[in-house]
Amino acid sequence: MIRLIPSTVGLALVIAAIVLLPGVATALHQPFWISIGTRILIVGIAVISLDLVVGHAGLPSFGHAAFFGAGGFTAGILSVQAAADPSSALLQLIGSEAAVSWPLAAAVAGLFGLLFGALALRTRGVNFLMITLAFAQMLYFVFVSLPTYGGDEGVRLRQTQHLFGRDISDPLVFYYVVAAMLIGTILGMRMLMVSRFGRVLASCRQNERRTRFLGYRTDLYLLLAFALSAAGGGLAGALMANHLRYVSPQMMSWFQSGEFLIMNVLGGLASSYGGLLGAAAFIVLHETFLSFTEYWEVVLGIGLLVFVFANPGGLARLLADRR
Amino acid sequence: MAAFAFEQSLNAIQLGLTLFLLTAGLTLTFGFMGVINLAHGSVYMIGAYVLAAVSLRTGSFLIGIAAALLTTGIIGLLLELSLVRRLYRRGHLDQVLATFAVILIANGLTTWLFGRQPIQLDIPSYLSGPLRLTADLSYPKYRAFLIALGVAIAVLLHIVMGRTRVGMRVRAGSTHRELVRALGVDVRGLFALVFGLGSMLAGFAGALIAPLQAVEAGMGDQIVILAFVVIVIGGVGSVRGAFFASLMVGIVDTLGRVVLPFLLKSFTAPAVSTALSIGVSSTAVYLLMAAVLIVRPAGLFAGRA
Amino acid sequence: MSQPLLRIEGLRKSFGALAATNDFSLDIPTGETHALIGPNGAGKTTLIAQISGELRPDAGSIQFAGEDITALTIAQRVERGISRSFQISSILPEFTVLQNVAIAVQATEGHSFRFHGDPWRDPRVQDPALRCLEAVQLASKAHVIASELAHGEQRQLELAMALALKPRLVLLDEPTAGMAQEDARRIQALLRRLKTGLTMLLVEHDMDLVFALSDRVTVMVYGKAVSSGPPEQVRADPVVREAYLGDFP
Repeated sequence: MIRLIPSTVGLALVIAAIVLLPGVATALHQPFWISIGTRILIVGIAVISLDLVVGHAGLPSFGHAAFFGAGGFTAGILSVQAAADPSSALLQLIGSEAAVSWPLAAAVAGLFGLLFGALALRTRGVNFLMITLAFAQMLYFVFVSLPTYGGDEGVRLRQTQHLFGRDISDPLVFYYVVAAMLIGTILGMRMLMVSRFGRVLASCRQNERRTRFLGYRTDLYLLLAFALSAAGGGLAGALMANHLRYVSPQMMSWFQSGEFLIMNVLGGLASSYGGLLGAAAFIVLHETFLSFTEYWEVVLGIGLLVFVFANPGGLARLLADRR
Repeated sequence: MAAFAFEQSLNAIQLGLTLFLLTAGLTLTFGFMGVINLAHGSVYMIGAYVLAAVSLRTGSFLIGIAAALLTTGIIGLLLELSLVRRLYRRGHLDQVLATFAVILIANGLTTWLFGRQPIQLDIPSYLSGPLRLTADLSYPKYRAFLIALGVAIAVLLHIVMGRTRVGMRVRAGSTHRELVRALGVDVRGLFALVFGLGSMLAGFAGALIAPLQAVEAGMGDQIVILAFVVIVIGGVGSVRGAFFASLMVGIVDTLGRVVLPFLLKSFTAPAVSTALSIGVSSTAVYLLMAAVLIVRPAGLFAGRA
Repeated sequence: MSQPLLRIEGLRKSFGALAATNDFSLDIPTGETHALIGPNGAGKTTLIAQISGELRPDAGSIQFAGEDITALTIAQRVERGISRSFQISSILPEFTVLQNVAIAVQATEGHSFRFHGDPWRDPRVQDPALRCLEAVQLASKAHVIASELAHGEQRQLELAMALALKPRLVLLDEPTAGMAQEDARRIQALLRRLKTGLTMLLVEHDMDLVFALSDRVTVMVYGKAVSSGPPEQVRADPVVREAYLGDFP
């Protein structure tokens, strides 16, 4: 393992970069960097959440997009309801007050995580992977077939979002709100990783059988990790819904799940901020290549193959993140 | 009413048999070789495209089918030799990512070669039209043809798996990989064979389905997930499991998509039926999978190839 | 006479047509070191699996300290004081030696649904873990990554982890499996020091160890107990000699 920089220094650099980006963007007259930056931060939250299950707990989950989409659709549906009935104070509250709608979105996604996890965790390995994939597809089909919420077209959010009553629809303000949530997620993940709970997950990842014979009810620990991961994905989904002012069923497609996995592996498994690095690398590469060729898929595929076989262990390893 | 039920039952069986063609090879890859292969759907897609390209060029459906079989068999072999071979020892995550990469490349290349427009193929004239079974009952000839082929291949596979040496080695290897290797069987040759044949079956399925639906990039991605559901229900590594699970999935899916809404419409208010049917139809298969998981997490035929 | 710590009655377990456990019964009083020997394939590991909770028997019962534990989960049995080591070393390869034992110590603390603090820096976890390592003479390797240990040292670590759970009954599945003579002697000495105050069920092929350590021996053949008693008695039993086809030392 290459240890170039100690973990805390790496984190400090990352935080510094996040905080300084808008300033740099404005100075260089590239305001759209703020928009891309917001997208990267949001996806970073989703991937770091996924990492809890894939990297820390060692479970191959291929259904994370379902939770991302569930959170997004919750936010979207709440917003549509609020727009439809401006006189109802309650609807306005849950529809456009982020301090209510975002946790609600995370909770809905977390609940799905609990439900899917309870069933999927009856298996491991190949079966687990296929089951998470199948459950995600199920959710996708359910949402696509809801005509009131746009079906294939998706949902448009018309309400401006408020946080504690303040308008956060300004791109710069929204960027910093998201940044705060991302940094919170990273710090939370770091705390989780070294806690008793995190150590048990690490033990499960290395040798679940042994962990069970130490007396741990591994299914419960893995289930909680799965639900927490889902909640994180749901939060990211709600944020994305607000950012794009739009929710599409594609948020739940298995391609999206695949992309999350790619970003996770790219950034480094079982690290606290690797997910952010993976998201950044992936999205930047995507945007760059898209401008060259329509057949971005082929380039991505080849790049992914090369990456898998070269297997450097992910970007975060270079920044020496600890386990 | 009876005619409707009859037709839907046959459709269910036809779907099941098509799924079986797709999953027979895949379940062996999972069980025998221990590799998660997401790109199986891409071979299905390639089969459809080759049929489209060749039959449109030559005017002959049969030549198109033959070409599809040949191409996908070869592609399967090449894939195994170049890529899949290196994935045996790697973790599931690497396998998922690598085969996901193959999907991306396959989709991208197909779009580049054939464009984004879906291709509509016609059923060949000698197979089109209804098959008159009785005075009141008829069934599309082409679908009947698919059923016949599906049954024939199922029987063939049953014979090969059960009564040939190769078949027995594969069956043993499906559930006891290391043992077979320790016995000195040339596992790698067998792997290539299994993967190549599995791919050919998938390509066959894709080609056969092509006239019934549009041929487009990514057509394999949705059905490969259905294939996974079949494998989960049937048990990884079990061809017999794949057979019965495919039929179950075919029946449940058809029930969910077609029969249930029809029944609901006849018996309940439109608002209720629409909402219910939407909810149930697309999820019926997944609910079945969930039910199987609760009772038998390893699949119905786990451990019995 | 007070009740035995472990009482197995009429245990049966079959895999298809193969009866791995065939009406097996055994009593182990508290404080006894009991060895289970027998030819390969006799069903010894299957028995351990049933006692530890990994396998459910088809029939029969297992009682621990007077309580019927036949239907209990692995976690419940560990909680009651049954701990196990594995024939093939089953450790946590990415953790250090100390962390391996620490996670075992952590398991004795009650549930681990705690999300702050760091058990790797908590003396309440680290100190007992270090003591366990000292007890098995592995303390000098405390900060070595477990996968880098030699085979013999991994077996020692196995032992340390089983002991860290503060068990009342330890199930040791071939603790000296695959070990060189010298390492095996060391394990033997270790077990001799540790056996006081502990009840042990020992599956072993190493006859020196069996005779040096055990209070009683049971011979298992085809899932059945064919002889049981003090080591000398079992050694002289003609049924046993026959079972081992004359290879009995």
